Amino acid sequence: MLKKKWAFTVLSGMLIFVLAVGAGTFALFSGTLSNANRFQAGTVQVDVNPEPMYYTADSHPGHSYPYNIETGLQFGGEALGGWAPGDEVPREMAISNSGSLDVIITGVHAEINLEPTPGGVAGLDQHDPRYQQFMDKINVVITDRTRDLLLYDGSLRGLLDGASGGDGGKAFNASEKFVIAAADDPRMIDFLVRMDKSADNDLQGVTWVFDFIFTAEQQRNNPDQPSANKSITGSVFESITHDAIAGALVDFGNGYFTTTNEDGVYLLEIPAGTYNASISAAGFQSKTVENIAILDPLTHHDFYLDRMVLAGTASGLITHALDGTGVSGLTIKFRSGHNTQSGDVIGSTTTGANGAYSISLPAGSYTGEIIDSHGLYITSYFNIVTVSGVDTPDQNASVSPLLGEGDWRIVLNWGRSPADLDAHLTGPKGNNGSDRFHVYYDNRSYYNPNGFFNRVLRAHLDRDDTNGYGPETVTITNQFQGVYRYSVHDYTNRNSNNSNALANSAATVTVFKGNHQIASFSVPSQKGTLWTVFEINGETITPKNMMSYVLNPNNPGPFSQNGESDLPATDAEIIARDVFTNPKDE
Amino acid sequence: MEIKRKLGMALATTALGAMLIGGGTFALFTSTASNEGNTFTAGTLTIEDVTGGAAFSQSLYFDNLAPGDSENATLTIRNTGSLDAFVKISGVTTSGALFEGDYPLSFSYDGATVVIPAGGTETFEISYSFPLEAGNEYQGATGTADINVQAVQVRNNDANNDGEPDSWN
Repeated sequence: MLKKKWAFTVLSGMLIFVLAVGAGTFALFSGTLSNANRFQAGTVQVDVNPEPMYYTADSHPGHSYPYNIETGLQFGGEALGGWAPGDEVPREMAISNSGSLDVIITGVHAEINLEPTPGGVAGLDQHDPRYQQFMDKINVVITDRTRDLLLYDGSLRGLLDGASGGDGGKAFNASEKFVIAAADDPRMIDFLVRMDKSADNDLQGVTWVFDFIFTAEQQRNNPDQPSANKSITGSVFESITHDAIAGALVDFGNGYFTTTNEDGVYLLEIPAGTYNASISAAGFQSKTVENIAILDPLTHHDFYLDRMVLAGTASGLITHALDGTGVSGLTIKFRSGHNTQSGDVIGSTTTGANGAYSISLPAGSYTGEIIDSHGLYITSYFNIVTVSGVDTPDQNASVSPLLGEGDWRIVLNWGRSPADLDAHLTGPKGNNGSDRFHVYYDNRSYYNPNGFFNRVLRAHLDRDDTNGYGPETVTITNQFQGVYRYSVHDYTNRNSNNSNALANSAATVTVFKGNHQIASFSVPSQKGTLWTVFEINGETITPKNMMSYVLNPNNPGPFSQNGESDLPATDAEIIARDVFTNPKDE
Repeated sequence: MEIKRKLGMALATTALGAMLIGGGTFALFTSTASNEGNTFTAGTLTIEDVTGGAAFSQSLYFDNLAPGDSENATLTIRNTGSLDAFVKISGVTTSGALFEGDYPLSFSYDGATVVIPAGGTETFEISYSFPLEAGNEYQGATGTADINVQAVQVRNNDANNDGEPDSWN
């Protein structure tokens, strides 16, 4: 409009000229373009294999007889000589998606096929009374193998469509429908066809031909989708015995949970996804299992629960075997059971200031492995116990510095009482010597020879502990040939002949040789004041573990012992003589 | 072009007047001043498709359509000329079996006019829809669709000042 007004103004002055020009002025600068697109519709196409599943020799194009006598009713689906009442023949079918779109399998039905087979055999017409009987005497079971889900179990009549005289076939419900994506592997479907035993003679020699037909629809934009839920199943077991646990709660969160049945089996439908499952049952420790992928139609997952065991705490001190001071910074790894030096570590801790440690573990017996990351101490092992809901203190052990290759070290630890247990080492004075040396609190070292310039240390009491716990430590160097005998004496109760204090002392004896712990001993549960622990002869260590009494030989009364009689009296006599001759200052 | 002619006519009229006046005098000092070198260049109006290929090539299903599918695409147009331009989608030209029959693939778009300043860029939304009612006869069918875009100068072409061109050509 504006343009036209402007043109008119000019016309008033220059009428003829502008008219001549005005005839060509209504063109405007302009442009066009186009964006080219190509579209293609997808395809829905499913195929089945094999085809047919069930056939007879006569209906086979090559007239090959399908029955394989080796494998029974498998190959072609026909019993030798044709179907007989009572025959039951399994077959499998693979449904594959050969189209470009994901499909939903929506149902299955059967149709009569009156076309002669490739072998030239035609089936019976549906109006024949024998056809009617056949429809009712043939039972068909169809199962989705992937989900182990029954899709149809009924008569052939129920599976046939109306045009074939049947009841219309089976339309799958939402949970029976399933998807085969365009790129998926074929889906395996199991068929089991059975001819009822009540089929009568009218059916003899008659042939029927049917098509089994699965129907498919595009999945995308389909308002009737299969149930999105997947299934997960499995069992809940006791972790050690693998006994099934009934009534266990299996909870995947978001309201998806179930409990195991009397056989310990659970089954749950749940949307596809990855879940953390919480498992609990009365009398068992609850457990969470993370990242369980439930993506397949049927996922199998078993769970294992440990029986409920309340934790208890064990604590104690790890001391230096030679001076009894606490050693900090040691790692202690715990394994189940006493004297267990390998296997799963179920807990660990580190000694703190003064060598103290504390560990909470389910009630039970454990072995602690003491490791010095700096390599200054021999790795050693000690036993502990934990009691449900209770602190059990004073579970001590000692660590030994590294030893010379042929040297022995024997470390005694015990509990709070008795206050004074003593280590006694007796041994040969010289190779296989019959005279015996005795190293103990009053004679801490034995040298042989023992000259001023030529003196060789043979045995040494490194530490005498007189107020409970230990350690009390003896070291053997430059070992002579012959029997060394190591004993523990209850000095506190030295005058008793009926004491069980030593038995109740929780005393342990740990033996190191070179840089290894080679033995450990726990005090027997017998009365006595002298525990003869073991003998060493050369490289051999022989446990003794005998309890006896050491009585003052200076007092009237017989020298007695209640252990085995093979204890040489001489060593016990030496100990008795020396202890009572050289009492400690009190 | 018209401006040039008008100026020419004005100059001629002035010269004629000067000559008439001059005819009544004998001699006067005179002078003329010349304004030289006036240059005029016509603008350009060009639009370019800078979508980067077919608009629907980035959509999910364009080459594997199922009935019920519908998706959007964006067409990006740049004004590469020197004049501001009115621009709109003027239509879609289709061919192929996918665009035939009772339930063909169809397009929808906003045909509104947009002003793209010189050097500017604008996007245009367009969507396709494949009816859920489309039957098996469409399986595997193909078709091509050209989305057409039209442009015209803004200046001197919007007498109502309503954002719509007075004329598209």
